[in-house]
This record gives sequence, structure tokens and C-alpha cells, in this order.
Amino acid sequence: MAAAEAEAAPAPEASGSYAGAGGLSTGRKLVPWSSWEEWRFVRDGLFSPFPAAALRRISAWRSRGSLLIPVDVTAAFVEIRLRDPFFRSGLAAADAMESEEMLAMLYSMAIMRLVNGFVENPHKKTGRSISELAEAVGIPRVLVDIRHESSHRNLPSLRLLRLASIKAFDWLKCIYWDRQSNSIPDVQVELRLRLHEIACFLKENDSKETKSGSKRKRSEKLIVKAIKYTRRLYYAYPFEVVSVLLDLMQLDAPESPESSDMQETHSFAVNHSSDTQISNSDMKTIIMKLSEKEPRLLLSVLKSVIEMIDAKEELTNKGVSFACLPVAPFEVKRLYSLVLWLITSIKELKDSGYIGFVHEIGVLSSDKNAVPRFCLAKLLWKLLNLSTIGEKCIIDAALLLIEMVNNNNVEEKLRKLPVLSLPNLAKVLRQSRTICNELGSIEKATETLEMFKLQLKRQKNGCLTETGTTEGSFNTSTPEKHNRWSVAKSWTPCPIGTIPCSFSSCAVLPAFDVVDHGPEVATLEQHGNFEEVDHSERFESQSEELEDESILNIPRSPEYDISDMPELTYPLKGRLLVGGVWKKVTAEELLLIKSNMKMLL
Amino acid sequence: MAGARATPTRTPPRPSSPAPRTEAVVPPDWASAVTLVSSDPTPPVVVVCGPKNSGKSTFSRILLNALLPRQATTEPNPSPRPHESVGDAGGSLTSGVVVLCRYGKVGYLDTDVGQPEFAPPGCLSFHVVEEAIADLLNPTLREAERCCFFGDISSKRDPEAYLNCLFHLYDCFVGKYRCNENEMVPLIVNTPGWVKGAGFDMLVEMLRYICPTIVVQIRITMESKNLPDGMFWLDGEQTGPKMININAAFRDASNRSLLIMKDSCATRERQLVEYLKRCFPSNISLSTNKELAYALASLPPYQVPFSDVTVMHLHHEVPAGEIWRCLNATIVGLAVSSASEATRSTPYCVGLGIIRGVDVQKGLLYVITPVPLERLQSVDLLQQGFIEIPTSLLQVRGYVSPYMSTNVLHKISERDLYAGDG
Repeated sequence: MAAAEAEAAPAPEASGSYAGAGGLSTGRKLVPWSSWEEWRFVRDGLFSPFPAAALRRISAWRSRGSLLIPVDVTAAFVEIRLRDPFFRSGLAAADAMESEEMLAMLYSMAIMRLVNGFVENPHKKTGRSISELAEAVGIPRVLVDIRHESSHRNLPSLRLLRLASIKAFDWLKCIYWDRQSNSIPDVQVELRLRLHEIACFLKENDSKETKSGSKRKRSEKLIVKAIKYTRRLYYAYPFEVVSVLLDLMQLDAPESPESSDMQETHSFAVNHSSDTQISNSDMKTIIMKLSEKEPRLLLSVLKSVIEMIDAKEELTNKGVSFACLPVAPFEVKRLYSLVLWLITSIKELKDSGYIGFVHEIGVLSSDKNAVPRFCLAKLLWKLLNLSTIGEKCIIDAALLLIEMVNNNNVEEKLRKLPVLSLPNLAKVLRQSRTICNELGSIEKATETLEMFKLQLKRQKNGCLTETGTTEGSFNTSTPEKHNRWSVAKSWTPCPIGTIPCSFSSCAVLPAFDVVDHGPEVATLEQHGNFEEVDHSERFESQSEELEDESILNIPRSPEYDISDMPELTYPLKGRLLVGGVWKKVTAEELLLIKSNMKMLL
Repeated sequence: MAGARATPTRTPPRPSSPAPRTEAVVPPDWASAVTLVSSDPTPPVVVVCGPKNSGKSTFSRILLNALLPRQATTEPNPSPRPHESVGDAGGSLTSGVVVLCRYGKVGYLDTDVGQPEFAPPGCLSFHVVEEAIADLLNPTLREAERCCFFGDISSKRDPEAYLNCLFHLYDCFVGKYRCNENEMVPLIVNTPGWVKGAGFDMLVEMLRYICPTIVVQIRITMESKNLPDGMFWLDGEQTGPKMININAAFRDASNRSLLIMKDSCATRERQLVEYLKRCFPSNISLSTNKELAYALASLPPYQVPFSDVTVMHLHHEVPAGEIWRCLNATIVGLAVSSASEATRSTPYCVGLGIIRGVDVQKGLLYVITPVPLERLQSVDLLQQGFIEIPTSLLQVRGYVSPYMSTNVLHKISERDLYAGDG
């Protein structure tokens, strides 16, 4: 980067080659993996001593179709090796294959599939010989010979086949796995680069205010281009982009926004490297530019910021008694002001028509600027659930948000609160919670009931086992005739293969693993334990935060800890909407409710 | 333009640029074959066979229309009893005056999983058709009387399962429409074009099971691609059905009947797209795939708890822990495991759906399907095969599926290799 800096204007040129190493390619291909993380998991597994989990995953990929030849063949080699005593010296494997004939057959077949997989198509197209093409592609000659030998002559010796399989394996690693690893786009790096570029152009524009128009126009064009590319990144990796954006906002930097602005401007002018910070105002400009075409970006950012505040509060509250909340540190303050800024921006976009709020997204809403109101309502709910509701910024923000949600009822009530001027924390907290409760509509209540039902079902089934194992006991507890299928409520548009995030109308790639499989099967149980510990911690902090005279604190029995339902556990765990108020319920009460539900059904 | 299909002087269109086929022109030998079939005194069971792309489907459509009441006429009471009418069997049929039978209903057994006539790809189905087909050149979707999801575009992956589905459907038809001798419904069986090797064996089994009354064989000039002449599926002395041989409609300059090349992949995709469009009310304009992709991304799907459905992988076993992962963003057959049925326990399929999302935390599957909610309630089995979602539906701007990846290294070209070295 520094070297490039020496030239006159290298940055604008660099921005033209987005498809270069590290960037996103323009072409897309259907693949069986849902993310590069998954692909890396398989790669690492295949080249580790414990490939079982990776092989299972590839087996799942096969059933999805569109599996690439090199992946398919690599898996085949790994699987054959698992059965070959030669490669498993010392390991007494029950499934080792003793017959040399069989092993030789397996190896030959895998090698044949490898060679054919790579050269069959060009062979048909060009008519050139297999060996010629194989040489051009770089397939080791011995593999081509084995293909010929085993299909037309005698089966090659097992010694030769083992050797060849090592060669083939190495070749696949080099030609596919390593090369693919290198061409996976690094979103973080890419995005930072782009954002700095934009910031750089913005700076140029500012300084060139008086200069000729043509140069200005050019950099404006480049900004538009870079923004467009950033938006593409956002579509592909929404969460990464949001986290990088927030990271670049320098939220935990100790300076006040103004001074850091100046300092950053200064440092930027000096060394101009990609490591320097982008000023907050520039970041805001960038976010606004991004959200003009993709207004829901603001919602995603807002959600992340609220979550950051929540996390910080949790940290602060830990160990400290609730009544004497310490003065919010500067970083939290900055987060507060950011919340206000974001909500103000959303409102601005709404007023200028960039964003429209609708009740339900219509079936054919190619109108991407439509945001369903329930998203805002959920964000508001999240916001009001913050323990530092008394903060001026947050109250202003909440009021703005309420105005947009268009819930007059709640607004009235909030306005009546005396707390707007005097933050009496405990009181505010309780009152704001009441408001939350009212916000929880009937829909939410049914949702909760549904969740509890599910929870109960799961407990019956033994919560950690996969579904379907204890089907019998479950069947006796629920009536056979019930509506299995229903239309999903509060749906927001999202790509096929994802599920909507309930807060920001942005897509989430579902987490498939109830318990994440490590590379070794043996660690599976340990993992499960980790998960459980994690959640109990989370829950404890949550219950501390909620310690309120109106809510009973019940000792939590371990079997109610549903380790695989973190989202569900988080805000509603142990609580039920009764008569408009979220109440904690005991295990006995839950059982009672459950039996009542059975009667209803 | 209109005569592209059968104009003798035209050269066959190359696969890259299929000539526009706008209207079916029926050659004389087809017309007389249709006449022959429809003049059969008893409601026939007709099997149409021949090599792929020889025009089996088109012929079946023409035959179907010929057996149904003429479109213009308003039959007061279309009963399954044969109506006798005098005249030609269709607008373009110009054969002599014969007594032709027409029926209120005609059964249609579709066995070509790659390019089904009335069902989405991957399905075997039987239909009872009461209304003539308007478009003789392209498949149209219709509600099936009974459907099985085979889950692949060729029967080669599992001949046994394929034949079981087929026999099951045929039994259903016979049980319902061929038992009462006074109210027998004619049946047309369209077969796949795989007539060599294992495909031939399957065709033989199919013919032996069905015992048709008429077999129409379409032949092309290149003999090596044809089925054997005569009753190839019978061993010896049995009395066979009526055999009718006709030539493929397309001919080249020297009047040899040829295969018409068509892009079966594109046909399948079109059919799936048409099928998925049924998820939406007809007043919504979905003329492009892009519009459909947006609509699919925003349509509130159906949800079903994991515990209420069983997942069945038709052609590939999947490790237990990977089930949801391999279901996400794939097409499944929505089936009813027919435990209540007295017949063979072949699950029947009410339609296809896209698993558009999986929420493991809530234990819910989200499914997009044109099948109405009431019918879905009986669905307790999801069958996963190898029917792929058209990629054009997965990559519309702003709603790109995570399975449509950029930067995928999938071809290793020479240029790549040497660039890497250099």
C-alpha cells in the first residue's frame, strides 16, 4: 500500500479492478455449501487425522447435487484410506478392508473418476486424446496410466495404487483446495479497502471544492462505483459488513467525536494508508450513501448498536447492584448518540421517500425500500428493554421510533411519563417495561405459547437428542389431528436458503448444528457442555438485570435450560404473557398451562 | 414459420437455435394412426413409445385431443360412454370419414420423469383429462389425479423404485376407471425416450405390466436408434395388441424422419418456473424470472415443525446430523405416507415445494409451494431427490441465495494453470 502511495493517483486505478484477488467475482455458481466457513470446515477436516465429520458433510452435499468433481474425488480418496490398513497403521479399525483386491478396485475407480472428471468434457469437445489433455491440465501421468490399465487391462498392483493415490491426493490439494482457499474473498479486507477509498475520495472532493469540475466529477463517479460495490458486499455478507462499518466508527476510541475527527483528518493527510481511521462524519456520509439504495442497512446497524449497548450494560451490571448504576462511560454514550443518529436518519429517509413503512410486505414487493412496521416495533421493543432507558438520547430516539411505528397509544403513555426530564431509573425501568408489555401484541403471545409448546415437546423428547427418536412418548401427549402446516407470521423478504432476522429484516443464514461438530467426533460431548455453561451464564446475567420487586425470582432447574435455543431463551425464557404482562412462570405452572393447552386442542 | 415442425424441405434446427415451433402440423401417417386408435370399439389403452425427441409427447397430445369431445361442441352431459361422431379428429386431420369414438374423460399416464406432460419434473403422474389441450407443442401443468415423486430426471438411478411408482399409478387408474365395463375410460401412456439398454428393459417390464390394447411406435429413419419392430416385449405365442408404426414428424431434405433437438434442460426449468408461479394469485404479473425470484423471496412461506414431518432421501442416504443442512434451499416432494391406504404403501405426492429456510432453533421448516394449505395438512413426508431449483431464481439482486457463491473455482483450464505457474 505504501509503495502504491508513491505514485500519483494509484487508488482510483485500483478501484477499477474489483474482480482481482480477494474481490468478489462477477459470476456465481450453485454450490452445496452455504458459506465459505462451511467449505473451510470440510477442507480442514479432510486434511486432518479425523475426517469423519467432513466426510459426513460431503455426504450431505452430495444429496444437494452440484458437488464439484475435485471435492467428490478427494472425499473418495479419504474414505478409501480410512479402510486401508496401510494408512491406518496402529489403528485397529473395525471397518478396515482386508481384501487387497477390493482395495485395489476402490483406488482404481477413484483414480478413474478423477481423470475422467477433469478431462472427459474437453475430450468430447476437442477430440484430443485423454493423455494429451491430462498433461495440459497437469494430472500426474501415473494416474492416466492407471486409468487406462484398470479399465482395459489388469488391475494395477495395490502398492502402485497406494502410491498413486498419494500423488492424486496431493495434486487435488494443490490444484483445487489450495487454489480455492486463495481465491476466497476476504470481505473484511475488501470492505475496509473500499471504505477507505470512498473516504479518500470524499476528502478529495472537500479539498477540491474550488477546483475544476471535471476532476470532481470523476471522483464522484468513483465514489458511486465504490458504493455500489460495497452494497454488493452487503448483499452477500450483511453481518460482516455491518460489523466492519461499526468497527470503523471507532466507537471505543477515547476521543470525543469532534476531536477524533480532527485528529483523523490530520493523520489521514499524513500517511494516507489503509490503516488510518476514517472520520466519523465520513463514516456517516458513507452509511447514508449506502442506505439510500438499501435503507434496511440502517435497521441492521441499529440492531447491532442496540445489541452492543445491551452487551455493555450487561458487563457493567455484572456484580454491581442494580440501584447504583455507574455513570455510563464515554463509549456507551457514543453508542447512545449513534442510536439517535440512526433513528433520525431512518426518519429522514422516510420523510424523503427513500423508505416506506408498510404493515405487511406484499407478496410481490420488488420494492426493496419497503420496511414492515413490525420490524420497527421489534426494534423499539429491544430499545425499550435497555436498562438505561432514562438516557436522553435513547428517549428521544425511542420517541422518534414510536412516531414512525405510528403507535399513538404507546406514545401518549411515554409522553406522560415524568421521567423524560428526571431519570429515576428504577421507576423508568418498571414503567418502560409495562410499555414493552403492551407492545407485545397478541401475535407475540401466541408466538410465545408456540415456543413454550415446542420447548415442552423438546423436553419430553429429551432435549438434546435429535427429533424423532422418542416419537412414541410424544405422540401420546398430543392429539394426532392438528394443523401441521401454517403460514409463517411476520415474514420479511430474504433470499432462498436464509431466514429473516426478526429485527432488521435482513437475512440470517440458519445455524444448522444443534451442537457444533468439532473436527473430532470425540469432542462432541465436551462441546455440548460448553454450550450449556455458556447459556446458564447468559441467563444469570439476564435475571439479575430483571431483578425487580414485581417479578418473582425462581430458582432455575437445569432441565429447563434449552441449550440449543439461545434466541428463544434470551428474552422470553421463563416468562409468559399473562394478561398483558410478562410474568415469570414456574415449572409447575408451565405444566398446568400445557395440560390446559391439550384440552384446548 | 408455422410449418417448422413438418415442412419437408426445412433442415433441422441446430440445438443452439431451436426454430420457433408455433403450430403442430400433423403428417398424414399420424392422422391415420389417430383415426385408427379412436375408431377402436372399446376404450383403448394406448402406449406411445419411441426414441427420445421423436415426438411421443406431441403425438400423445394430438391423440388425447382426438379422444376428447371436440372443443367447440357443448356436450350436454359428458359421460364416459363413447360418443360417436363422424368426421375428422382435429382441425388438421384430413383422413376419410370414419366412425370415431370420443369420450368425456381420458386417462393420461405420464411416465417421463425428465419431461412430464402435466406435472413438474421428477414426477410420475396419472391424470384424468376432460378438456382438450390448447398448446400441442408444449407441456402444460394440470392437477394430477395421483402423483408420485421419483425425484430425478431419469429413471436410471433407481429402476425398481421407478417401476414401483409406475405400477402403483397404473393400479390406481385401473381400480378407479377400468373396473366397470360400461364406464371404462381410455388411457394414453406416454413413455420415456430411453429405449436402449436398461431403458429398454424397463420399457419391456412396463408394457408387460400394462398390457395395452394398442401400441403406437414412433420410428425414425436411423434404424439403430429405434425400438425393435413388432411386439418386442412378448416372448412367444401370446396374442399381442394392435401395433401401429408411425414415423417421426420431422424430416430433412431427403425426407428422412429425424429427431428434433430440443433443450430438455431449458424445458424442465421452464416447467418448474411455471409451477412455482402458481404460488401466486394470477393477477400478479410474473413475466420474467427476475420478478418471480423477487416474489419467491418475499412470499410468506408455510411453516411446519420438524416433528410433524419425516424426511426421506430418495436417492442418497444422508447422515442423521446433516438432514436440515442438506434440505435447505432444495426442492422436495410433499408427500402423504399413505398408511391409511389399503393399496401398496407407495406414498403419493401432492406437489413440490422449496425448503426456503430452516430454523433449527425453533424447529421449523419454511416451505414455498403452490399446494393450498388445506391439502398440505395431510402432508407428513418430505421426499428429497435431485431436482434442482433453477439458478435464475436464486440470484436476483439483493436476494442472492447463500448457495450461489462467487469466486468458485470449478474449472481448471490450461490458461489458469499456466497463469498460476507464471
